[in-house]
Amino acid sequence: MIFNATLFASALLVATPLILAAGGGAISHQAGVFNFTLDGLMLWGAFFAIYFAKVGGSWGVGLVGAAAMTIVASLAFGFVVIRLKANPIVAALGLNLVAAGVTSLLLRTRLSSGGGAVSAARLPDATPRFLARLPVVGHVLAGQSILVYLAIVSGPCIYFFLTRSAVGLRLRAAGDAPESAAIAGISVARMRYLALALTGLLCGLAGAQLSMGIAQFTENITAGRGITAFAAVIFGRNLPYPVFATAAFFGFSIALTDRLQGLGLPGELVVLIPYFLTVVALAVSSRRTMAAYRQALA
Amino acid sequence: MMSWVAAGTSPTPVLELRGITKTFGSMVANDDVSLRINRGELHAVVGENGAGKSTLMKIVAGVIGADAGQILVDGQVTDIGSPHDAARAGIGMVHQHFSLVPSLSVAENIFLGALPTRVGVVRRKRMLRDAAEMADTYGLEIPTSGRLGDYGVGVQQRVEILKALLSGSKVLILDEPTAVLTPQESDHLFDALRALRASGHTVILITHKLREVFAAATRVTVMRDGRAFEASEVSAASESQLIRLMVGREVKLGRPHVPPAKDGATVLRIEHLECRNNRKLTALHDISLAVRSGEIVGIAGVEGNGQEELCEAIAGLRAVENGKLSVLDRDVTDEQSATKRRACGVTYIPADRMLRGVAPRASIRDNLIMGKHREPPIAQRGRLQPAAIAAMGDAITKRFNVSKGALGRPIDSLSGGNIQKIVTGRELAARSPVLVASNPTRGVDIGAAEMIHNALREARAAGVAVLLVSSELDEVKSLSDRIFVMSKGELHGPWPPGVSDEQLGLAMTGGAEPVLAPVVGVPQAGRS
Amino acid sequence: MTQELVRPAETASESHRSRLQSLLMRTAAASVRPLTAIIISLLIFAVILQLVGYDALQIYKSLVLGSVGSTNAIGSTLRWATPLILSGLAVALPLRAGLFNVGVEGQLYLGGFVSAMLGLHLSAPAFLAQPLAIVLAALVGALWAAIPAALLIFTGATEIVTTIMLSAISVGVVDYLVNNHFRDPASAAAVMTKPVQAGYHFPSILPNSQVSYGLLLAIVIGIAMHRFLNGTSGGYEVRMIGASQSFARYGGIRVGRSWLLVMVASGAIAGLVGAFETNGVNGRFISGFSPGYGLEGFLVAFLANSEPLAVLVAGLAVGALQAGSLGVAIDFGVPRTTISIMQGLIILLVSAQLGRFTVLKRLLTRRRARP
Repeated sequence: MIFNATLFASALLVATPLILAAGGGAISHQAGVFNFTLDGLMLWGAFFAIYFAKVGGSWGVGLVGAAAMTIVASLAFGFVVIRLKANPIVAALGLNLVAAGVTSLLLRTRLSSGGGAVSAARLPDATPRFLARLPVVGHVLAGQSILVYLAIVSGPCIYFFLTRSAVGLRLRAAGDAPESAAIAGISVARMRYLALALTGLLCGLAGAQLSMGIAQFTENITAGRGITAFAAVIFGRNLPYPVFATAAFFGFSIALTDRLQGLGLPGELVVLIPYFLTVVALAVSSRRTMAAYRQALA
Repeated sequence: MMSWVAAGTSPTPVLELRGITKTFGSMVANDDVSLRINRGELHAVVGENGAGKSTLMKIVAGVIGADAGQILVDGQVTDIGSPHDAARAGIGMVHQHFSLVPSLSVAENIFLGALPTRVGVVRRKRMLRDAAEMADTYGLEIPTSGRLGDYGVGVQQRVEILKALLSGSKVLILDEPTAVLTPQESDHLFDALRALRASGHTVILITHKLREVFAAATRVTVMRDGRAFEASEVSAASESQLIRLMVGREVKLGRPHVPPAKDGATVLRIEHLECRNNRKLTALHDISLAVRSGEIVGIAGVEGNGQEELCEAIAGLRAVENGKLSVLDRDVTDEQSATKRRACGVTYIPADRMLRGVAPRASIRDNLIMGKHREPPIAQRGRLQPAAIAAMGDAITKRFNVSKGALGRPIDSLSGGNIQKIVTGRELAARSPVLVASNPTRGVDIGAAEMIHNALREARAAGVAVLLVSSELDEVKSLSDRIFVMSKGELHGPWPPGVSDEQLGLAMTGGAEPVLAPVVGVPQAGRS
Repeated sequence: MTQELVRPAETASESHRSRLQSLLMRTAAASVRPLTAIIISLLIFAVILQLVGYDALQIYKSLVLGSVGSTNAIGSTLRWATPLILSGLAVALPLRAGLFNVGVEGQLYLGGFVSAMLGLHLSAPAFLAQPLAIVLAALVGALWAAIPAALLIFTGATEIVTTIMLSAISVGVVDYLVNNHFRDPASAAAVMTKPVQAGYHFPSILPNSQVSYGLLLAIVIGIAMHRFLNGTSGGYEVRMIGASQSFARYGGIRVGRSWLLVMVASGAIAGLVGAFETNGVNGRFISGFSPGYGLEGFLVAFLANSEPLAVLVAGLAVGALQAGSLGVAIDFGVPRTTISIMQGLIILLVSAQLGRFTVLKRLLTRRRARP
């Protein structure tokens, strides 16, 4: 029996960082900043979650610390791209490199672990008992952390933010038509910094889920999840619900592969499906996406 | 300055410009422009492309700043440093290239600068209601749902107008509003403008379409080369006079016309050509034309009547909807690319030289060899020959008197005139059978212009078939062996070079009866 | 309108000297920006090191010793310079035409895999084996880069994303194959194949080092690329497309064809990296053998402003950095990956300064290739 509650439970778990990070990426793209930093930011967040959890003694401190540090990193990226007018692609490559290097260095020196892994607090179960008692749904939700619930509501929240809040509308204007936004009195730069701060927040939390979810940080803990999240953003054409659904779907298929190991569908190859799908999506719909990217890269 | 307020008969103009000057680098966009706009009128500002109308209006709307001069609103000197300041002064601009956000809704676009919120959440219903109210008041129909980007330019323009009105504009500036509209939409627009005037607003209309001036405007100002000529009542002006002011040149470049040396064979033949412009509207209607070897055919006319599209169609940069193009009796209609047309013998001096004619940051040397970079002597078997390139560079810079210096410099370090000389020299050096030159001396100083004209004459003497398109009447008359006029996508003519300006002006307006009118610029006391 | 006086004729030697002078001055002027970026990065990195408790000065000394302090060190520098120069060239060429090949990593991975497969399964004498491996690796890399190029030309799909995606796919597929079908049973810890046959092993040209003739090939390719870009019609077209697409189209240049050409060449060069690292240095395919050459290619290309000859120098410099960092790792127990901090910083800063000029402009004026 493959499609049981356990599968959906692990699908939720795997999808959470993807959904959060992809949501952050979508916000960034909506504001007109091409953002390939998702993987680096997730790694950054994953490390600092464990670090602050260890130093601060609780998972709460870990979460706050991860969020704060990742927001800072994302804003630094914003500074280089917005103020210094750097090429966003190359700057992202730079950030990802720096993130990998710094976390690796700090792992050895500050958390003094030769083996490359460190344990600290884990994210506690955030499911209230009445939910956990429900027949099928209960099994799926039992043991899930607060970040999982955050990921579930992130879809509607981001949608609401971008379509119904004044700030969200201005952010979209800054990304869709910066000159028009400027003429309407909107500070395009400020909107972009805000967007990147949100990206940092979401990616930091995504990373926290990765590391504190298993109470461990290892060097390659993201294992390319950031790229998968980025793929979800592209495939979902930067729109909140499509990106949300795509990220969830990618998470689900990754969880599925563990189940299908026995049936000869190799997990290492299934994780590549998102990338393939993204290429196909681009090939099919690129007229509009290209225009969007030219805008996003401007 | 001559004062209009004689014996207190004229009320304070709602908007007055004094001595506005604006320079971009070496180009003077507005040269000491003074203007008075009276309340409640529809004031047209006309001029050809590059005359400075848009720049002037952008200064008034606070989008850019003037280098010198004053703006007076209701008689008070007002500092307009930003669109916000302009809005506060009651001035709103509807841009030619809309400043809208396609992915947002209609109402969101209208209220983008002032979104009604409650605790950060936009009050959608209130926004929609207010928008609908405004639309009703001014008779501007707008849809209530959907992305703005899904709607056509008619809707977009109405949204722009509502945006301007929302910020409390008493003075509305519209920059070439009908460039993108169908005739019916244009009619609706003018109805709306009439309603606006009735409710006390003042409208400034930037346009190059004289038909609109005579249909809707009360007063008109002509701009040319950055300068403004005194406004006149529309009822007192004639179309041909306005055209003369718009396209005429102060200094005559003419030389006595020398007839072509030989009656050459037809090199370029255009038959029943039809083309669309970027807005998918028909730009060329059934154009037929033949250019012979060793002659210059000139097409005059106010810009925006399809000249650009014609040049691009011939050069392979625009698709041909219908009709036939032949070069040297060979049908090239299907060779729809610049590569292929060049191969068939067509070279083109483009009007937008900085975008198409050169790569601004590339070196002069690199810009020189474009188009010839695959053939001898510039290249032998794929290899560039520095000596030949240097020789070509020397020849062109010497012939056109471009200041000497390393050819490795980026070309945008040269003046506009020098750049254009290089472009001309490059295209002429190709010695192709057909040369299309579009506004070759626009923005170019007199000396350089003269050089370019001589070069065109030499090409003609060497047997090239030259098609010259220009909105400078003098230029067309002094160079052409036969003159056509392009008006609303149709070709009129040909006329011999001795034709009168009035005749040509007549053709440019599509045949309206010229009225012998008093001299433009005499102030009419007592009118407002 | 003033007319400049014509300069009096120069003697031949005078003009040579002044040409050399101006060349040197231009190189110096162009070096100021990357040098500033490097210096600032060094400073920031030193601060980071101090913060975590290392003595920055000692580390930098070890860095210098490890890169040029001995013949071994120089050998190490040259060994690292080879793949870096090649990656830099692979990135620089499409960049001149305004394209971003972010898939060098995947292309070189395929190149390495293919040359290892040959080395394991096809017996051939050395003089045949090695050229075969080289050619096939280049072919595979070229093909993998041709896909995003074709997608860009025919569908408008941005190569920025498609190269990233295809890179991830190729790395994933190759790792899977090696892990499950070609793994060396003798090695439990590392995921790698058996060693390739002796004939396929590229010999080293410097005693006691792992520098193969790949370095010479890299230099030759660099010079050839320079000649191509600056001395041929095809290279002219590539440069003009990068300078102004509308100007290039107006002049009749076939943009799509040039784009395909540069991407294919780029992929081929990337494939070479894989071949030389796999058969040359490692002697077998090792999963994860690339410490991120794809990214580092961007670093090198940006430092060199995409000028091939400058790529040779920049690749050497970054190679020295890499070699030195090994010494640092040994001496201080600092993991090699931390050098990526410095590299990342340099990339960030160099891209910042370049961002104002050509690269951003190229991005802003991109369109489909079909005229």
